[in-house]
Amino acid sequence: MEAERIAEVIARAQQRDPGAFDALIEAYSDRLYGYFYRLTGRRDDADDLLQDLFVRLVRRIGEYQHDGRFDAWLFRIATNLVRDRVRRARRARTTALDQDEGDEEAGLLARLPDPSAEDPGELAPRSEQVDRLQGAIERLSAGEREVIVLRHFSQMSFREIADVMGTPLGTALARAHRGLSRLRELMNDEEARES
Amino acid sequence: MNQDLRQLENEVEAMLATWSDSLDVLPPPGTWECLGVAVRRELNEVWLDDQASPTPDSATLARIRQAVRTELNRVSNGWAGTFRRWRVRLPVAAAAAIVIGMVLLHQAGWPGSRPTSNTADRDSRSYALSVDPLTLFVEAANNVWAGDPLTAAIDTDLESLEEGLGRARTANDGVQDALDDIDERIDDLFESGPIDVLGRLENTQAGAVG
Repeated sequence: MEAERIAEVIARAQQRDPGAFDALIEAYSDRLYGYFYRLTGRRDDADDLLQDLFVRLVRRIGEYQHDGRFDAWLFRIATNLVRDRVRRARRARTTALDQDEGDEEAGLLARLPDPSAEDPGELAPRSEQVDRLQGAIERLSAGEREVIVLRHFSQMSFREIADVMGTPLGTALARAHRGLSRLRELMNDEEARES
Repeated sequence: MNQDLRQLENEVEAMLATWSDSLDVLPPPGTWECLGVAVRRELNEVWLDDQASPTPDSATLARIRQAVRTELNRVSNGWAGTFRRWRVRLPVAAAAAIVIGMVLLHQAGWPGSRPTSNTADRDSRSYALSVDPLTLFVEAANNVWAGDPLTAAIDTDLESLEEGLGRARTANDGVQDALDDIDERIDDLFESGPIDVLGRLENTQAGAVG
């Protein structure tokens, strides 16, 4: 969606025009869904997060002051939603382990990757079929994964990404470089193994 | 290194070679290396863009549109409902506050007519019950006055002004004391003076006759 149209749609959304929200859903749902899916690795979690995001957008659109960086603002909310969900999942997992009960939600959410963890090996194997790229993304460290996915789907600058992640610019750049190289290597290894 | 990664390195080298041919002076090796890193990352990003990503299905999008409409209604009703409720409640609350205020004023009288108490060692609830509302109000105002940085600064200024006035008053008192002293001496002089003067005149006259 071009800049002028976005500004017009946002202004209408701020007047609580349902049509404007439909236009925003149309324009952003693919990229946001991809972002959520690549970070959580699950379609049902991506569905829920996408819905949560647009519902939250209804409440918060009035706070947005249009400066041409709507994408960055939106993906910042998306990043916080994922982080909240991961935190809740970890709490649910801890509670479930403490109570020694097979809480279904805890079981599902326990598989979410933890963006704060640097160890890529702590993910539990998933039963559902995932594409090869997703498998490779999940083998990256959490920091690398978040930078790459945020950059890919939000098209934010590295400075904005560093700001969202609370890291220095050099760290964000280094993670992006290292993570992308590793991702491509992992994909190639996978291909080589299959062939 | 497999074919894809070899191809990537070839692309990086080819791109750097193109630039190097167009430059009159080559940058230092460190800069060249950084440029290679940036080019490699850029090419990797292009590669990632070519990878397909899942998209939401139509049922999910329909559910989201519905949720958004529900939320829009909820938010709109929330505001309208709140406004409607307050439109009725506000005048009633204002009238009630005026009546309560008048009753309290009637019961309490004016400040200064009742002794104030030290609240430091008392239970606040029993204290609030034992003291009339106006005294509580004055104390609360004093607390606010003491607690607020702006009023505290004004308070300090007033204190120093008062101190200065006190010092001036003390100096003034000294001058007044001196003036009183002089006044007293003049009075003394006039009270005893004429007798001595007459005595001295008599002595002088007697000496002249004798």
